[in-house]
Amino acid sequence: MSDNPPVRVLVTGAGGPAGVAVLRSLARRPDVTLLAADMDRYASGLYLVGEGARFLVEPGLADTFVDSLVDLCERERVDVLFSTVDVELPRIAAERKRLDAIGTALAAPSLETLEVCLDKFALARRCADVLPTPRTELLGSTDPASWDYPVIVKPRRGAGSRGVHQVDDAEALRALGADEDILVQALLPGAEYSVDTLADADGHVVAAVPRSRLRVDSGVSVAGCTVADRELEQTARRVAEAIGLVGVANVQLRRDAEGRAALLEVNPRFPGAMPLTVAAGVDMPSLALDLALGRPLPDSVPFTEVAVVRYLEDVFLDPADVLPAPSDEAGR
Amino acid sequence: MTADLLRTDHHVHSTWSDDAVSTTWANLAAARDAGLASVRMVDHVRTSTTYVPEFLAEVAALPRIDGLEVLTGVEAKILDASGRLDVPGDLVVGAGGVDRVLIADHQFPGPDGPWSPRRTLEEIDGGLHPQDALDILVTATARAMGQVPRAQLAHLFSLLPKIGLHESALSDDHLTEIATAAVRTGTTVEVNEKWRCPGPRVVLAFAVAGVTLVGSTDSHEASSVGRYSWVAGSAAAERLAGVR
Repeated sequence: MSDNPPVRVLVTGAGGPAGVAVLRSLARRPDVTLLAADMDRYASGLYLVGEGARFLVEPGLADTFVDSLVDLCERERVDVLFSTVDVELPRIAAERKRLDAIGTALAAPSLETLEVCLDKFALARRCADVLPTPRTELLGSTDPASWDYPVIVKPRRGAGSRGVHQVDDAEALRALGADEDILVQALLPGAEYSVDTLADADGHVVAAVPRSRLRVDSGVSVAGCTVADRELEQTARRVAEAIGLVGVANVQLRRDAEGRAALLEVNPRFPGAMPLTVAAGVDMPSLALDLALGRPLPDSVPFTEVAVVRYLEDVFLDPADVLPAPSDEAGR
Repeated sequence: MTADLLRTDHHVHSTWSDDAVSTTWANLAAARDAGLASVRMVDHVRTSTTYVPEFLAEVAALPRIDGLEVLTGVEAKILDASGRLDVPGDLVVGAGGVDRVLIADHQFPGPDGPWSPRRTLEEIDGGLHPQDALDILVTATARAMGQVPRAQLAHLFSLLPKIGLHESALSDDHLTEIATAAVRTGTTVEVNEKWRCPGPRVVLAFAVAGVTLVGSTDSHEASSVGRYSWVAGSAAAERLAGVR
């Protein structure tokens, strides 16, 4: 026990599919003690860890969120922090030095990488010269007559499919006004792929695992398949290099009219469908943990083609073991 | 002596700590249900904390339970080798204030401020002798006990595994230094279930030296208040002191 105490890993967003995926992966490692946090006491992932290791935290947008998370990491002697919540990630990454100072490594890409991924206009600019990238302009500064329709309109910042829609002609695009926070993007007509991509501390891509999303329910992939396709892998590698990726990101590609893999966007975090990539042979949460601990990673990790269908799983508890609701009188 | 340490829980967090989920009320009920004779409600502070008077008022307003003593505390880390504590400047300890300050080794108390475990490992790799690191830690802990009128050592030596060391590396002189300071200042030392420290050797040495030992779950939710498994072994070591 003295020489190698277990590594204490805190996973936030324990209620989401990504948080659960990270917890389930790391639970297989005998050298890890898992802690889980969420803002919701009914977050299922909280109950995948030991009784004293479940923590309710403030919403990621709360003013004092980062302060209280740093305090939690210090008190619980957290060695590595995994955040699986979009809104938290840039805020936590901005305070990486504070976490370092108390001995907690953040298993997330650099703030610079996060920022370029979360600003889809910056991302398109960054990647336009190095890989097929659909034409992307700001709504407020583009001539609607200059596009082939239909086009895609989406928020410049934001996650998932929120606010994404198709516009069929120039008149309809003009009617949307001149909002600088809205993007116009050429429609990619082909099949869509998610490529889970892991780069080591030098930015070298250790694995890029393309997945096709065969069935999607409410934005979550419920059936999928890994796809051995060198072009998809190579494209994701080029994206990783262009954004300076260290760690895990989910690169979304779609085939253009010529059938080439082109960049849609990058989610710089663990996807909810990560268990498929793990099952295909690339345990990215585990590799990301080694990366955060400064341990060497293999030069490359191969994967196999695997299909998955998913279902909801149940965790049964003594009602008394459900965390109590935060009380109103508590001073915070 | 106070009650058998297994019937005490002198380190119970409530919702006044950001990361704990049970109210002081729920913790009190849990302490009663666990058959405790004594419970200490403790929450985390740092220099900027302002909630202590409200926390104390809330605990003071809890219903009385026959045979159950309710005490208060705040937990703060040792900031540096001088033993300076991360407590609010206006903190009152004793009458009208908090009963004890829990002294925590959340970070290594370096000469220039708190060192993270990794920094400490780097310093040891870079030439800081492990015995010197232990000297700094032990002396800072002893000094911290003199910084406040009434203290309790929280999860003593829980830092050691994080900096690649073990309690067995502590010399008897180290234990004597802490025990002497604890007796002189009336500081209690908790045996901590969550972090499983200090171990039986330290507990026995402290018991022999006359240090008051108390149980501690370091609970963050009511269901674990007063529930011991590992501590029971150390409590056995404490009893050995009685037969010597």
